[in-house]
Amino acid sequence: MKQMIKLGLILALFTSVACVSLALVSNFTSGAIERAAQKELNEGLRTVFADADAFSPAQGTFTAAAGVTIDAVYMAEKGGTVIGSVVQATGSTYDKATILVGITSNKTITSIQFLSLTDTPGFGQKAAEPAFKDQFTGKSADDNFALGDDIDAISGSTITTKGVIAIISSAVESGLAAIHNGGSN
Amino acid sequence: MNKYWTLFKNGLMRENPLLVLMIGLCSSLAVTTKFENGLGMGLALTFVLFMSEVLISLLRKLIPDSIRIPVFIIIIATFVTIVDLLMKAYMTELAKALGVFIPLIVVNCIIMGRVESFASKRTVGEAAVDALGMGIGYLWVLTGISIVRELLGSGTFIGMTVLSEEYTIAFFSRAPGGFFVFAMFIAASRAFRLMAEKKACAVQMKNTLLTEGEQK
Repeated sequence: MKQMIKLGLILALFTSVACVSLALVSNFTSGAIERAAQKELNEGLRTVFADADAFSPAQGTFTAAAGVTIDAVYMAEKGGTVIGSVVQATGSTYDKATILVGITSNKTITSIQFLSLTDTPGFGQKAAEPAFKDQFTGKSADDNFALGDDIDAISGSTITTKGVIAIISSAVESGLAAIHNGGSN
Repeated sequence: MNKYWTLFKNGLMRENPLLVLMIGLCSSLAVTTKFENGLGMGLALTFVLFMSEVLISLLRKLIPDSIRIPVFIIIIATFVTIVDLLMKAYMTELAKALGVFIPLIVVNCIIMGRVESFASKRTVGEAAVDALGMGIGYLWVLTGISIVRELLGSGTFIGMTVLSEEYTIAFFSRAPGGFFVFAMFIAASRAFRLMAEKKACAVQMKNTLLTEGEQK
């Protein structure tokens, strides 16, 4: 019994020393980590919505189509007025994709950007290449992104193509809803 | 001095953790698609291995035998978390590329193995040299594999395009290519060792023959 308490105390001592040193390191690095994440987010937002000079997160929850989650919505502002929004949405493709979609208040897609895409290299991965993803640039939200008419599918990757289109149309809907409601939903 | 040199060399080739002991393979095969990733992973592991071996060797008389494994894990996990936080703060790109494999250094058999079988029984100096040898042994194999895989798989090297896309073989950037290149490294190191042994053997035989001749 005595031995057990002794061992427990020794283990506790090691753990607390480890905790204190980790707390110090975490304290030291947390600022830099946050700044790096913020910078990356801002750069991502700027690549899909180059016209805006500031972004602010929109409040509220957004409904999405089945299989798609709206991760975040940012209002794109220029000189203080909202000129559009950027939506981050995740959904299933052949595997999974997270996409940033920018949409202006007059319903035009500014650009799309893949934050992550885990489909097969050589097939589904082609969705992130300019040849496919730049097709969405300048498309109107009123188009229904019909395969063959509006969007050329990736050969051999129909499931990826359809998944990406579903994510984008859901994101566009949420983005427009956010613009319509003035940044809250 | 000679003793330390032998210890150091041990990890580089004769008991190389990847090529000979064949431990810690999962992470090494997964991250070696790009030179930078191989180098980053190798450096991170070397740092954690060095710090843990030195600290555990320092504390080896204070750690009760029956709870040594949990204490080792606490120490290793602390250093891994420090590396993880520092990378996320100052090397964002690398941290993203290595992803989950940095936290997974905690359960890397190389560290646990060296700490348990070496650092917990030897002096600080010996542990430090062993850690450097093993760490650099891991590092050079990892960077070697990743240079070959990046060159053949994506045709690039440190951001420069060396081979145009028509000549690259995508096989090498995927898992089977990793196994293949790794096997080639093992074969080459084995051939090299056998050759060295043969040479040493021949020299020894010549010496014995000479002394025998003298005796007669």
